[in-house]
Amino acid sequence: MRNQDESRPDPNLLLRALRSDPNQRKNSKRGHLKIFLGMSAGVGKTYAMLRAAHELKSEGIDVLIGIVETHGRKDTDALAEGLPTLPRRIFDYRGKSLPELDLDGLLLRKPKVALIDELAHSNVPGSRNEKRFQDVAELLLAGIDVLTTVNVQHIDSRKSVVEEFTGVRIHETVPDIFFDEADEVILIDLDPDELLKRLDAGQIYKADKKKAAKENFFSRVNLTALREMALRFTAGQVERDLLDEKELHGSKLTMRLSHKFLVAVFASPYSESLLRWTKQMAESSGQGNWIAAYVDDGSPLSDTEKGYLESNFNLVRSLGGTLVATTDLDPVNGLLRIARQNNVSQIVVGKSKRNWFGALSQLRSVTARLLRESGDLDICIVSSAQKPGAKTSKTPSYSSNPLNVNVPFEEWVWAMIGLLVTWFVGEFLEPLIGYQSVGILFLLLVFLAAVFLSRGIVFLFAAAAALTWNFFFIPPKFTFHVTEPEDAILLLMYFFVSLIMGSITNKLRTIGIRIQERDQSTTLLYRATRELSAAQNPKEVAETILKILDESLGIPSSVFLGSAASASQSRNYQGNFNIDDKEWAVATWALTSRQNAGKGTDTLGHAKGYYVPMVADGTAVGVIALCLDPTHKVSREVKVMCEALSQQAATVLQRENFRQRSVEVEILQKTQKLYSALFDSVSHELKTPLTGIEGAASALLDQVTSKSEESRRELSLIILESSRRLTRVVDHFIDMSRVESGFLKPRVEIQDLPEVFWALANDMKTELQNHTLTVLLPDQLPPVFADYGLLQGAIRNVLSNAAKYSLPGTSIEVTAASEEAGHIELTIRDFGPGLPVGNTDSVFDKFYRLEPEKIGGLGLGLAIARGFIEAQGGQLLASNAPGGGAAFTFVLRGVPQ
Amino acid sequence: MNDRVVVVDDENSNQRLLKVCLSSHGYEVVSAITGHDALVLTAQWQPCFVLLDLGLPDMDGIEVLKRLREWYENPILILSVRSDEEQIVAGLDAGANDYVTKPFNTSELLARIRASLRSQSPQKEAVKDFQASHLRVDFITRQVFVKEQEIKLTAIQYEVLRYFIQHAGRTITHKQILKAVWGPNAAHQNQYLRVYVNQLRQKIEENSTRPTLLITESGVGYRFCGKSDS
Repeated sequence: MRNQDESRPDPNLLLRALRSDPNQRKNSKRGHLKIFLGMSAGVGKTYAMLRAAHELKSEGIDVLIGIVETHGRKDTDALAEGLPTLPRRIFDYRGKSLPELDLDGLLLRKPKVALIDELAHSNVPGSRNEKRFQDVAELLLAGIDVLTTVNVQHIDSRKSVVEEFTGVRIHETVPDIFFDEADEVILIDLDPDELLKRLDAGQIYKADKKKAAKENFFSRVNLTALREMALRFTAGQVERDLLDEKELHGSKLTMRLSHKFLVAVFASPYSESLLRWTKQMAESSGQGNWIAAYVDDGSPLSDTEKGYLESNFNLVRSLGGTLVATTDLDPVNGLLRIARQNNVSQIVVGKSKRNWFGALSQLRSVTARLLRESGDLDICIVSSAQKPGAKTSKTPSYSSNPLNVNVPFEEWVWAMIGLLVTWFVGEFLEPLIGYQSVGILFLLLVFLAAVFLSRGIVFLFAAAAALTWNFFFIPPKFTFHVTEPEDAILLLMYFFVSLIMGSITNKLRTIGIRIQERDQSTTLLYRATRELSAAQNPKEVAETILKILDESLGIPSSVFLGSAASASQSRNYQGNFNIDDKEWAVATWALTSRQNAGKGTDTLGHAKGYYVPMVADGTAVGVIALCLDPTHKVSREVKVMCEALSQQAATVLQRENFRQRSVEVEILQKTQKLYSALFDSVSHELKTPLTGIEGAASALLDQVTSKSEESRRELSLIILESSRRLTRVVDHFIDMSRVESGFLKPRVEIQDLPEVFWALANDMKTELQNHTLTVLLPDQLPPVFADYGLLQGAIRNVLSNAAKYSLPGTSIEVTAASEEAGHIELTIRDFGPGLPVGNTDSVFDKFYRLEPEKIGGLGLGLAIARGFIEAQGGQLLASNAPGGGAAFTFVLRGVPQ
Repeated sequence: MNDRVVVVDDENSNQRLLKVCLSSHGYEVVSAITGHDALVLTAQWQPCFVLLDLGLPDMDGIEVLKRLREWYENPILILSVRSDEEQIVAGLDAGANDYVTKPFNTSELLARIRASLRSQSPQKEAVKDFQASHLRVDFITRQVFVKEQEIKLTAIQYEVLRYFIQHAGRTITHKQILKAVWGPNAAHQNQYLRVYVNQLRQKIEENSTRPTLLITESGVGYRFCGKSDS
């Protein structure tokens, strides 16, 4: 609804601007395309291009000639010699050596700017791309800027017009969409008289070619018309850019109404010129807004017709139009429905040159009905020019095609049997119901035939049934003669009724079948969506695709998942279509260029398989490969299906990628957080004592501070304590590395546990001064088998931990017992906050700290204690004591008996 | 102004050290162990400055700083083991006057404290003239002299220099200068500043590659080192 918010730019416009805005382009790494357009050969396009290249070169930009045809013109030659040139690649074609553009060489060399002459050129058969403009598209995709030249008659939408007024057949065209995507189109203009003068002077073609060329093409009239066309085309491009700009910047356009064209596509060669005409009209209206509509009315198509339809669809795509297809028994209704749904303002139809049969059905003609029923829509009637070289002059007609004799043999047999049975039954019933009612019997037969037999036979059958009725039943019997006028009327009526009924019934049946088919493919796609989104991993995605392809098409197919880069390294695809080296290159190309390739496409069409890349957000994540036997053509259904599947799969794979990446990021973030916490605690533990030392030492040097005896003493104490603290930290690190490195060699001897403990408690007096130490060591405690130093170290760490985590004034209880022979247990219990419930063992993890904000330390003490105890064959266990607080139990070895 | 100082630090040894140093230089020290204490004691004692550690047991030091700044106007110095530039910038932007990393030299700390107190002193508004080594600035006539030779500065260069002199001795973040001279919209245009500082150095420093007045605090900002002789 544009009315609601006029200043808001249309998203489609923004999208288009994004595609063509040079700044955005730079970001997307796509190359810059500059086209030098001329009205004909000899206006100086190549010359202008080379001049532009020289300018770039003088700015120090890496310019390379990919391919330039100078046609032996001297000044052009001279210009070309001043630039580095890529050697051409020689192709062998039917015994001839043809020098061509070395595309791979150019991609490998990767200059900043490449010069590619003659955009419309067709490559030698066997090249990767059929047309040179496809080579250019590849270069742009690789981020190489391209300068190129083209003549106006090679623009696809202008081709038929040029053919018409010059009478020269044009074989090479460039799709219009290419010009839409160009960053710059530069017109090289020249007065026709000047051009003819140049031609006479032999500056354009060498002498022998000159005359022929002049007669065919270079007449003054032709050149003037071509010049006008080139000027208009460029003007149209400029105008469109301007409109884009205006709309983007929110300025209101008062003059222009929205023009949107719809053109009907038929299975006929005439549609081609209609399509080109529509494209041109839409463009000159300023917006280039048009759609092509195809209505499938259920009538069967011959192979030739299918071919026309296919090529018309392709033309729509290459002209940059949107194709909308629908199914409707009545083509006019279908067209109008599409038109209304898409807010079309004008419908383009052809003025058909009808034969006598067409004249009869004038009332039913599409054009006439459209005129009557279109209401507020404008109808443009365009004369459809005879397509040069078209084989058939058959007009598209929606009246039935009565004589399609492509009928299977069995149907003839069934028809004969039906006729015979009805005849017998009729003979039997005639005396009872009269010969007129037998006619109804035959009518029933025709109806049944229409339901079960194909269209071609139904009309013949209706006629045969009428004749049989006449011959055998209507008096005089056994003649085709009819005497009674009522019988004649009856017969005539019967004839028409059976024809119409047969036709309608049959058509309904065909539509039914068509709808069923479409329904099947819709169901299939729905199923694909559902099953693909249920797929858990890439492997399942591939399996699902293969399953669906196998069930619906039944031809060998394979799926490769991965990027173009990974495709060049490994070939692990899944599926039953064996892809050899040559075919793999096609698959890789499809991945790299993110376009369909292989059989039935313009790129590497000689391949066995048809390759559809899965593209999500501009990155190819895999490719679907279909093996097609030599006679098999890639039908539209297969194409649509593969594309839909690949799109679905790409989305699913993309989603999977995102999910995986987010998990990775999360893990990384956690690790980083952990690392930075660890780093903080270590730097805090090391820097705090250093602060004391450096600060106190520098204060001692300060004359004012060091004057007082008291200050000097306090500062010295700070240095002393800080040094001790630092020593402890360093000791912890050393102990930890001893535990970890396995260099701990305990000297296990008989030790008296109370003696070890009291020596330690005495040592730790200051540290434990704020707590009450309650020690209950039994007198008859058996000696333990341990390393004195390590045992004392472990107990020290546990004790100092208890003191650190419990409030001053609380008590620390030490008990010992020997309940099991050979084991002595020492338990140290505090009345602090206790250990994390359910995960008491985590306190032994390195750098684990219970409340890192409140209580300092490295979190190594308990890890070291456990390491020390385990090294001498004991155990250190942690638990929450009943009544609150933590309890650490040392399980020590007793002296062996 | 009183001579009270609130020292916020949860390490006993640091508290003792700072107490000895500061009291011997005539300050009266009030110790705060937690962020909560810091807020309460500062409100209660109205000290002439606060020394703030960032790693506190109950709350983040930056948070304490922000809350203090809601009503406390005297200098706050951060004293922290965290030495990464991000932390320093965050601290300065949150309103700290300076940032000293641990371990520190007590004389440097005392010098920084004095600098902060000086720039805070009310007579700064009345400064009409500035003189430091070879540089002299007359704020009334807006003239700048290097070795008594007048030099020409553009309007913006002068503004930048004036801002530095006003905050002499303090570390100033890029953001603070940009906001003060160019306005809040330019707060992230560090490259402007780099250009102007280079131009200024060429004009006022004796050797612009080895500046003695305009010192770079790498990754954080700049510090103007001159002290007015007058």
